[in-house]
Amino acid sequence: MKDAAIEVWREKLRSFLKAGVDGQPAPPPEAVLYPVKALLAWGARHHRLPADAPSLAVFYGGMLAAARKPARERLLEDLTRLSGKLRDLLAAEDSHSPEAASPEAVSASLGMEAEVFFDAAALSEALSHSTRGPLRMRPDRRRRIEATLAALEEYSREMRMAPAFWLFGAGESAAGIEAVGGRPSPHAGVLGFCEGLRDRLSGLLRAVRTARLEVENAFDPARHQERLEQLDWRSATRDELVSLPAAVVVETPERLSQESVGAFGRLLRSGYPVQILIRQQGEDLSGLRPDFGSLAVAHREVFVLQSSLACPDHLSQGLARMSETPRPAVAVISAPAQAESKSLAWQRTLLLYLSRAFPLYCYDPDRGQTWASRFQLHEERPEEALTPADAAALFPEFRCHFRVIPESAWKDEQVELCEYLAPREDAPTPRAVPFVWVADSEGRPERAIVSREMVRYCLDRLRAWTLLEELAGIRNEQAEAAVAQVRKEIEEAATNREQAAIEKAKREGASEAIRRVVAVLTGPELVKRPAKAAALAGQEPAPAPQQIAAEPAPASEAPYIDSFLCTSCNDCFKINARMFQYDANKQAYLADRSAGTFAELVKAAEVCPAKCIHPGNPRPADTTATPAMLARAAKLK
Amino acid sequence: MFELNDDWDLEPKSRVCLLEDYAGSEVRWCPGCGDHAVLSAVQRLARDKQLAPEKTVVVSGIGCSSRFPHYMSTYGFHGLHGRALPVACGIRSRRPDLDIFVVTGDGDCCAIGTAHWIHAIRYNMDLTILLLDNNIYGLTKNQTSPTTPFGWRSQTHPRGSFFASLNPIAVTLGIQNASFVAQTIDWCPPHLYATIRAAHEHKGASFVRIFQRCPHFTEDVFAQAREDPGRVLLMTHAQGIPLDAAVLKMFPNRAGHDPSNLAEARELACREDVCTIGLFYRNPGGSRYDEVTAQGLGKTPGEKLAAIEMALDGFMV
Ligand SMILES: Cc1ncc(C[n+]2csc(CCOP(=O)(O)OP(=O)(O)O)c2C)c(N)n1
Ligand code: SF4
Ligand SMILES: [Mg+2]
Repeated sequence: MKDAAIEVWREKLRSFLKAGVDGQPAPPPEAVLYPVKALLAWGARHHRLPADAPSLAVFYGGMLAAARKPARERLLEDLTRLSGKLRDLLAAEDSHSPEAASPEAVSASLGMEAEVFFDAAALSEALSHSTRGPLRMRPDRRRRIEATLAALEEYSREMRMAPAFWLFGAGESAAGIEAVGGRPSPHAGVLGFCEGLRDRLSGLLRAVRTARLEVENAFDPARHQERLEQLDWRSATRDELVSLPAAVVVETPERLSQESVGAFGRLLRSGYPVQILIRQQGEDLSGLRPDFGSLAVAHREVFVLQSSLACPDHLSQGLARMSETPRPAVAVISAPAQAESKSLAWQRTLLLYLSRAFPLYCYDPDRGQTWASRFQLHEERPEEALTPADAAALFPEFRCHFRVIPESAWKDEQVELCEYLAPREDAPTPRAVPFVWVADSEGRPERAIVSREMVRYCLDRLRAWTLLEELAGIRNEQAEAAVAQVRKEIEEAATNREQAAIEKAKREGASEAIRRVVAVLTGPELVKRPAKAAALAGQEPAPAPQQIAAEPAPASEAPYIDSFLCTSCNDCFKINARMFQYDANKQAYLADRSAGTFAELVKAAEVCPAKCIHPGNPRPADTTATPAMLARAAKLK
Repeated sequence: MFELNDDWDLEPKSRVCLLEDYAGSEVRWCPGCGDHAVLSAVQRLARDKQLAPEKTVVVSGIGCSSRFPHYMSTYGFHGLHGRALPVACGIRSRRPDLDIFVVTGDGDCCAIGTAHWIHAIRYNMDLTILLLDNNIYGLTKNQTSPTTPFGWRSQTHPRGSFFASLNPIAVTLGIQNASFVAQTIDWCPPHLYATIRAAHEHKGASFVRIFQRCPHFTEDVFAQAREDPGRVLLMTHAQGIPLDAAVLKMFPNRAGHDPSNLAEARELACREDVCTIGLFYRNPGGSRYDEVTAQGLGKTPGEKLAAIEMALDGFMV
């Protein structure tokens, strides 16, 4: 890269990093997209990440634009190539037209100096008398090619002008969005927009498929016309789907749950390649907020990412994969809220996922057909056993669920919340009171008793986590049961085999003993030890293979043709086209013996250059089998 | 996408060409002419390899054999006497996507077209060259050709040819950069087919000389070899022309010959006591001129203009 370009790149990166969460979001340039991981890690350490909605959208939009650029360029290239080929076809056709044989056209195609050698008028005259000129293109084909060419040109013009992505619901940062190649639009239009996109895509696919067939000279209206008309966007390849500008929707759980859960579901069911970013701040103890991640996963064929700005590795990898999927995609991203202290806000976000109150996972249907291949749960075990309450303690709105008690009030029945929540065999002591450790202003540890709601909240989060673990194949009860069952079966089978082996050894021991007795009685030469005594024990020795009877020489009396030797010379065919016919390889075979005479067979055999016709003997009533003819036939043998 | 690709029958590949899709206008060769066998072998090969008729070209010069392109319903170029090879090289130099067959006769290739023949072999462009050698000028009715046997009487030499005949295989094996040289006979279709197939599969100029019967003017030239398979020497080798056991059985007289052994190939080519068929020589590593001439294909008009501009800039002082 040129030095100057590197400088520009660097400057843009700098200004983006400088902006952080304090200032207004700076428009990140395309260059920011490449070091995404480093950037996120750096940002997390310095609490400078695109935490607010507009900059998150801008940030992801840039990533999306970069990820999809190659596919888009490939498609544009393909459109250009196909248009060129169609134009060639039309040009070739034009060169066959009567106008192309005019003296002027002939003179032009000969070039400037040719007048000296050629008489263009005479050539033109000769061309116009040509009786069997080249085949002309059928008018319907010409019309189809012209229409397809026009469509391809329109689509490539449209694609060149379209933005890299459309952003819905984030009008507040128009400038930033445009800087990464997006275009902001009002939220309400997303479904309609996607429907429009679908129609354009079907048209594009139709044009591309028609062009390919025409270029390959394979278009058959009877076979293809109807299929092409029915073609819809679902036939698009991955490349084609991701090459169109994506629709990116930025949402918050609050807005979604109040206004558009229905539309959310419809959008996911539709299969349109829409990308939805849900930025979730803080926590909701009431449990009234829908779990949008699970909701999206329940749609089965949707890409779902649940991640956190506090875990930049997971977030950057997840978003990178999301930017490549041609499916509808949802990312639920946990982000810090406005707080009196920046670092506090980040700590909350961090604790939410470390305590598993907000699990991180990725569900990618492109990875396979099974849960195991599609679903990845991000497991990070902090050294301390954290509970969702430890995270909640950091939120002022949940302060009422904690009561700090003086050391004098510490009692034995008070148990730490993580222990209280831990699964156990026996029932918990009914009087146990759960607490979490907190620090007072001087950093001394204090006990904070937690409310009933807080315990319920923690249990709910833990149950959710256990279910996710089971989906991810960790501690899966059904799998464990299956393993136990198989193990049992193997053990049983092993026992049975042992038994069988013992029985067999006993039997063989007996027959070996008998064999020895017989040997002693009859002398060793008379009883040969079988080659595989053990294997054959108790069986008759295999009989010697019987002599295979020599194949009888074929009775060469019937006429026949060695078809594979036939040179397709038509000679026999001309003698009798019913008796001799061509097979699929255009080589002669004796199709109907009764359709001809012995004399014809002999004559054909005589002229056959490959000598592959054998006339055999005549049929009884054949009057052409004169002695002379029989003599000629005999010569052929 | 979406597991179910309901787009499949719009794939251009799904066309199937039958033997008759390769048959052109009505064949006008004499009955019993060996050219028929070559034509049907090429048509069968085209069908078996599913060559797209519009992506296949047959180029010829002038002669009976050179009427070949008319009988194929592919693209064809029935050119000037002796000039099949330069035309084919011209096509190949800018059309790497086509299958190109060259059909030429002993007069066309070995008399008037000799210079082109030698250089086309050196250029080693990807062509399947079929020399239909009937040892005579057939179309012009019986004149001595370079391959006519010594002493053979014709219109031009009523008292018999004065010279030892030219051996096209020996000549071709003497040309530097020759990469595929084989010989076959029209009266054994399986061997003919297998040889043309191997030639077509070879990337480079594949030269196949076919002993071709002309029942009108050279009826007897190949008679001995035809009547007595013992007069035919079949070259066999794992790297040679693959043949069925049934075909092998037809030729009791065989010689194992490694087609990478050029010296032995030349020796075998010069044997006059037998009619030697099979693969004399193959060198897959020869340099191919078409790889150079086809450079820069697929450039857009804009790119071509830019390249021209740049070349022009080079002249500026
Ligand atoms: C420039 C030129 N010279 C001479 C001729 C006459 N001519 C036509 S075909 C032919 C010989 C063809 O012999 P060959 O190539 O062996 O083909 P065959 O007919 O034997 O298959 C000749 C000399 C011609 N057409 N053009
Ligand atoms: S003259 Fe000879 S080469 Fe020409 S078509 Fe007849 S048989 Fe074939
Ligand atoms: Mg000839």
